[in-house]
Amino acid sequence: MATDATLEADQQLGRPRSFLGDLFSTDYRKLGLFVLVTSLLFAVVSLVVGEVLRAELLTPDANILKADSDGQLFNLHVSAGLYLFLIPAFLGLATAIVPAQLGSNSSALPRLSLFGRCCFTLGGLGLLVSYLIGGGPWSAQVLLDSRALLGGGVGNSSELWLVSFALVLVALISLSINLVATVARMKPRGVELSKLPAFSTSSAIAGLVTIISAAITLGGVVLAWVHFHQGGAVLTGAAGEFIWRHTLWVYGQPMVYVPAIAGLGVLTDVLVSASRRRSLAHNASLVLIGVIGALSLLALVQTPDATSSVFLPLTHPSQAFDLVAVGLLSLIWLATLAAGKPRFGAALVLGIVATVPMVGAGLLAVKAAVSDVESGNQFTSAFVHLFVFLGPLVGLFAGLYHWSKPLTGRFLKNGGGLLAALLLLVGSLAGFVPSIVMTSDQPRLVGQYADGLDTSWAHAVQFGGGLAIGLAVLLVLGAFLGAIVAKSTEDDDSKSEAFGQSLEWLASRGPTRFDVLPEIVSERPLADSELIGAKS
Amino acid sequence: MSLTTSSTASPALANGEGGGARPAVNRLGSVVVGGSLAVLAEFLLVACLIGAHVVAQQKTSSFIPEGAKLDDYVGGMIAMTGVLIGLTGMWVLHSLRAADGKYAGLSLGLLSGLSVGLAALCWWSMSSVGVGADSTFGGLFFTVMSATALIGLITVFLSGACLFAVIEGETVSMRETIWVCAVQAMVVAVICVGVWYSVWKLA
Repeated sequence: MATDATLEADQQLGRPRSFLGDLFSTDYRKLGLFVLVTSLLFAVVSLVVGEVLRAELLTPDANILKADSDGQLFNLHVSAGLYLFLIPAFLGLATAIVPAQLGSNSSALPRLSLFGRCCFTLGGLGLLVSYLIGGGPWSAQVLLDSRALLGGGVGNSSELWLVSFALVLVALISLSINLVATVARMKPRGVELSKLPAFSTSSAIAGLVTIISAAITLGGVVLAWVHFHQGGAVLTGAAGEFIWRHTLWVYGQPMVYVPAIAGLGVLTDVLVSASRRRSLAHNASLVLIGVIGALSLLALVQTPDATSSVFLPLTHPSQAFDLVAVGLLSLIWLATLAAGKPRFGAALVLGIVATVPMVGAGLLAVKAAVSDVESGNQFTSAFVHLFVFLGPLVGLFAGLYHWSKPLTGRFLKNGGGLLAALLLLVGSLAGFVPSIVMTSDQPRLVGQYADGLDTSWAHAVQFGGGLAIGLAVLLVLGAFLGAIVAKSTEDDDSKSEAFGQSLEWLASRGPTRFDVLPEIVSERPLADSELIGAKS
Repeated sequence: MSLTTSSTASPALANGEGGGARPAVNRLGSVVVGGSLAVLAEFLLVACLIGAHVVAQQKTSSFIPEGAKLDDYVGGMIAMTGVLIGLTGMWVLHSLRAADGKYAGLSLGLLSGLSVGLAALCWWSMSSVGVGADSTFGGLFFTVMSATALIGLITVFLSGACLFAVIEGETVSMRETIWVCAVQAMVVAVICVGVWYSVWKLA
């Protein structure tokens, strides 16, 4: 097993780092980084496809795509955005950061993690390739529409999609098992649940939700595979629709909340660390993240009319408390920042920007409460994007800037992060506000709009918003890849987040000034460690 | 042949600074936690298939097609084999706690044999059901039974590997895997009873 120590020894002896060695390394940082970068590359695919779909909406006459292609691309946008980007990106970030947060040299099950990473890469590529074969995979539409089950037979592309999707699910389960086992078993002495860093806690919760949800979805994929191989004779009628809704439908899976759960953990750590003081309510933050995790499982017992919910992915009435929990967390962050001495770097600004889409989702809920909004239209699309995708996306970027040193060996430049934050803020507002104020009562496709309704300006603004988000993603991806490729800078512990509620360190090989980790006795172990070191 | 009850932590890792060493975090239990979570995922997957069978049975009129033959004897045997597998898993755990290598080997061997029997019973039930998979019942029946047979084979593999390790005397490193094997056996018991109840009892 390659550890930081062995890698460092290699470097001291002048041994070259081999690409293959890095590729199959069980070092948790490299594993996590590989998953993270792969998922960011998949994000580009999802964003490009999203923009093509936006371009299709610019005018009713813009027939860029055939009707069939629109459905295929919409599925690609969703599956690449959720299963190939957001969920694995957070799992990758957690794989690389959680052991460091706990003060450990290794993750609990590194080989399982490597297996998951290989499955993810193969599955992800296979999933994308399936869209290039024979008009795309019909079977992929089962993620969004039960009518896909009516299509009998399975072609090469559908077969490839089903197998690849199953591989991706196996990968997510493997990475999650490693994460939960790491949090459960790799804690140093004295660390109780209440003393765990927020991101470690949220990663464990997100991991558990992923294991439960992905296993059930995998069962659905097996059933779909049998169904299509038997000419569409298995999942039929009301039973087929029920089974589809509880296993395959994307919003019937608790997994859809994983980016939000992990993202809230990232934001809690980033904002509290940036405030340079202890969180005013650390335990409450952990409980609120746990509540959102528990509520996500209610998707498994969704109401019968869940598919027509205005607030997808909230498919059970009790899940409305998610919004309350997010609101309370935001208040804790705000109060902690107000009480501390915030350092306004890119991570903090991105963290603040990340709350904008989430607060926007809350405002949408209020609007829906006072006005009559129907499901399946632009309003629902805006809500889903703000709550499930955009907020966690910006949160992820905040995490990348906050943990850039332990991840890549370099600090990312603040300027790029601030520009990305600006683009994401503009993109969030421009991309979805028109959906709320102008076209909220209209269906997703312009061709189905009421006659005489001119919404071209609204869609032009939204197209621009999407471009801004895409640019921000490319900017962060470029900066991140550049930092990985560039030579590592010397460890600079003077910038250590001494008041962080974790044992994480900025040096890539661990806390250089401590030979032995002290017993953890408080909620801010690294700060205490430094005090102990100073006294001795 | 005896099982060692104590465990050893992995050696401390040097921090690369030439100074002291950071204490290695106790890795004991990682395999148990990870293995149990994997077994949980496996259980949920099969439970999802069994649930689909129950739902289809309730929501589909004339669910079982003409010509289908569900032999109660086979269903009962699957349930009984499952219960025996679960009890044997508890015996494995007991042997592990008592550090009794002889009974650990015996119970693991029995577990392997029963698991092979379970897989064979599932195969038998599929070959004798009398219909193909081209109906709601057929598709779900074959999927559920194939999945049950597969977890039977996984149990064979796991218990076989543990048995080999116990015979070879390398028990310390395999302790956690044996623990996971016992958990797997108990989950197999629950699944078998679930399969019997949903496929045969509710029919």
